[in-house]
Amino acid sequence: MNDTVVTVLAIFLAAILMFIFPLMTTADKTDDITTQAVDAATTDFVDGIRSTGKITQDSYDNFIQTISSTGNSYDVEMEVQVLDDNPGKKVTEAEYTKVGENYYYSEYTTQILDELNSAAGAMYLKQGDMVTVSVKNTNRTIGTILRDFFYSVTGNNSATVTATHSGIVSVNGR
Amino acid sequence: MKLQQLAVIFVIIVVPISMVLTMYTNNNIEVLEAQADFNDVLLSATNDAVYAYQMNTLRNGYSTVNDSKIRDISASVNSFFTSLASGLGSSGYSREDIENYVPAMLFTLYDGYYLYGDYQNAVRIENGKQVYQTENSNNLQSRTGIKPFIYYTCEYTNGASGKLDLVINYTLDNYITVMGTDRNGNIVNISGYLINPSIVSNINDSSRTLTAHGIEIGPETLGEYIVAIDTIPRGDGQTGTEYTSRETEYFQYVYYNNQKYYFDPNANESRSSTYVGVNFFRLNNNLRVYLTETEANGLAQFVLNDSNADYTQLNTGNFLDSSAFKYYKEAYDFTNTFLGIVGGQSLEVVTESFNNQLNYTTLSEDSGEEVPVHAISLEYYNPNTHSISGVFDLGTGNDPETESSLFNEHRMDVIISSIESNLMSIISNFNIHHNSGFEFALPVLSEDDWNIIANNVTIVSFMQGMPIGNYKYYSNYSIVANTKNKEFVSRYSILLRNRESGNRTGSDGDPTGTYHDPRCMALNGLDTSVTVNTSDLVGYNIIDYQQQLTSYDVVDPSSHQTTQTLTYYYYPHSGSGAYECVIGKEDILFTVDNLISGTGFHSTNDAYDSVNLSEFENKVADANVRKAYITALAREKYNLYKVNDYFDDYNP
Repeated sequence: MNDTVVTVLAIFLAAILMFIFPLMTTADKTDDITTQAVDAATTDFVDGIRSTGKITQDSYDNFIQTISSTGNSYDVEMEVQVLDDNPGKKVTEAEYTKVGENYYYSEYTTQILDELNSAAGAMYLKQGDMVTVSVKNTNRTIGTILRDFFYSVTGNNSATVTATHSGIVSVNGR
Repeated sequence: MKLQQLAVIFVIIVVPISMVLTMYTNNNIEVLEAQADFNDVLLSATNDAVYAYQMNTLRNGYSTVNDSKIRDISASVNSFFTSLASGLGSSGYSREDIENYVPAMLFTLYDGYYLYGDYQNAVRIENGKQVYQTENSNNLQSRTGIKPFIYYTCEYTNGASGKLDLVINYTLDNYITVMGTDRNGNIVNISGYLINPSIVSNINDSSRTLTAHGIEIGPETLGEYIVAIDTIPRGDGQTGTEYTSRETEYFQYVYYNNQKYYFDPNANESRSSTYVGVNFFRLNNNLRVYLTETEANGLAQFVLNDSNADYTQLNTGNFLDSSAFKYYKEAYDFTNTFLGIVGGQSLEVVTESFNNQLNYTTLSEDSGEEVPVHAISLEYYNPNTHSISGVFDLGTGNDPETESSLFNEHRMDVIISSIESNLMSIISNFNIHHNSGFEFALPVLSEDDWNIIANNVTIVSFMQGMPIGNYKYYSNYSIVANTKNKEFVSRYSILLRNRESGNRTGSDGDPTGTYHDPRCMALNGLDTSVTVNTSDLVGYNIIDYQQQLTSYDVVDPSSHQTTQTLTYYYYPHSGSGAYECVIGKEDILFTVDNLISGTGFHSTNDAYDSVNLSEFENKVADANVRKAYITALAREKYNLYKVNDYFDDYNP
């Protein structure tokens, strides 16, 4: 009787150890490597924007294709902060002694995509603008599914593959 | 063996493997992140260097003088290292450490460039004198610093038998200096702007008008707001002067001797102790200096183009600037002289860095194949005989003022080959003194990067050999263009606005007005969603739309001691940048070549990535916009400070 219970437990444990544990580790590693790839792609994309001063439909499509090839679905958020020195100027003219300030107004993913789809096919930036791209996966990766089988993490930040990169544009797009 | 034992053995095998793998992947991710961080820090440090240079030059009246330039560049280098050190401070690098990883920095200026890097010091300074000793030469010390200025130069001959031997100094635009001997052995020493001579016609010296690019160029009214400092007699009646400042005031001005001379119709004795009854002044580092009668007569003779004129004849109506006329007239004469020297000659390039250009190859990271570093177009250059053809055959297809001309291509090739060969040697020399196990070498700069370098005042920084973990080294470079400087007026530096009325008093009045990029669709009437007033357009250099400052020492009225320094910030031109072209860029359509030559827009132009703009196919820019743009570009170029401007010696 006692022996049977131990055997059943041992078989159960062995199953976990021999099948599920390696599966989990492999899935976790896959996620890590995916993160690395997505991170590299995001950095490339943002650095490309920074050094050319433009976001083109082409480079955006390439970027989406690269990250999609990892097998996950992603939510890509873009933000462009456009440097606007006009408000600072008006202040300066009213009060001589005040140094002008740099204001930024932001355009977000949908607005940027609208511009990419417009006739120009690209969004042009100027020196001093800032660009931020962040990526996170929206599907449940195998790693997440397996992990959730044992313990589940709730909340918004449950994405396992994330990457963010940002920077200041160093040339005028045109 | 029991099942439990099997499981234990399995765990013993699998756990270490998975741990090592985890470590390896995490390590890789860390390296990647470190690389991205370093990229950021390097780019920001280069940006900081550019800002430092801008701050030091834009507000300094003498920034184009060579001594001042070297000082400003040293300051720029300093701010680069300070910024880099504070950016990498958390990684435990101090400034001394970082200097071991920066093999070179490049500062390209209007007519040449400075390199910052490693050199061997063969000279000892004793009592302010240079002492050369064998001891020094034998025991060379390594120093880092700015190396001597290098011009963008190319040398040409007309074959082994000919006497023609010319050195041409190029610049970032179509200004060249030609030195050497012509085909008959006569000395040549000339400088000027090279243009397509067939675009200039109807030169009228008395009215100072001519037609260029189909646009009539003539005298124009210029004006700007300034805050000037005045010297006034001391309040306590003792000898000496005090300073006082005025509010922003609008003045008409003309360029004379590359300097702005202002017209002040309301001047009087109480305004400044330099006032002697002449209503004209110039600024000496923000200090207002009224002209003497003799100076003012010289100004009047210059402005009115009449050797008998005196200053009382000047009024707001005839105080006009004709720099644009002079630009085209002098360029026309210079081009004809130059074509008389090189016309019909078969030119061969002597400069080694240019001829060796094609031999440099490098392994491409993408394909792993050997690729040339920067290829000179074989369409005009023969690498076997070193001969060039067509570069100086100026005409409609080869107008040096446009970006797409063969002259411009050759100019860029000269600049790139010179910079490339010098950078290569300075970076590889770095290996001699820095034995870190890493071999420093010039990275492959992309064609886009070279385009930026050859057409802008830029700062390029290199950082190599920094260990970032996982047995990898960080190596990258960063290029930042300085688009706001007094060195150089590029085709992109002109912004247009309506001519200001100047009736603004104090802080209110005339604050409206919008300035546009001349390539803007709205300005050229192609974007009907925006209303733009295109009457009376005038163009000014982009730096005149930037904030300027005036500072002066405030003297306490009772003690007559300097109590504090006050700084006033102001904008020479009121109004704000248009959101459709200056702040955002979505309305920019035309290329600068469209504006200069008056050619129609082509939606398949390489400069644009889209073919969806076919509705604008063959549209041409508005004639008023072109007139304001071409006039302003010519005027601002003409009044740049140029070192070789006095070169005018050629008697065939």
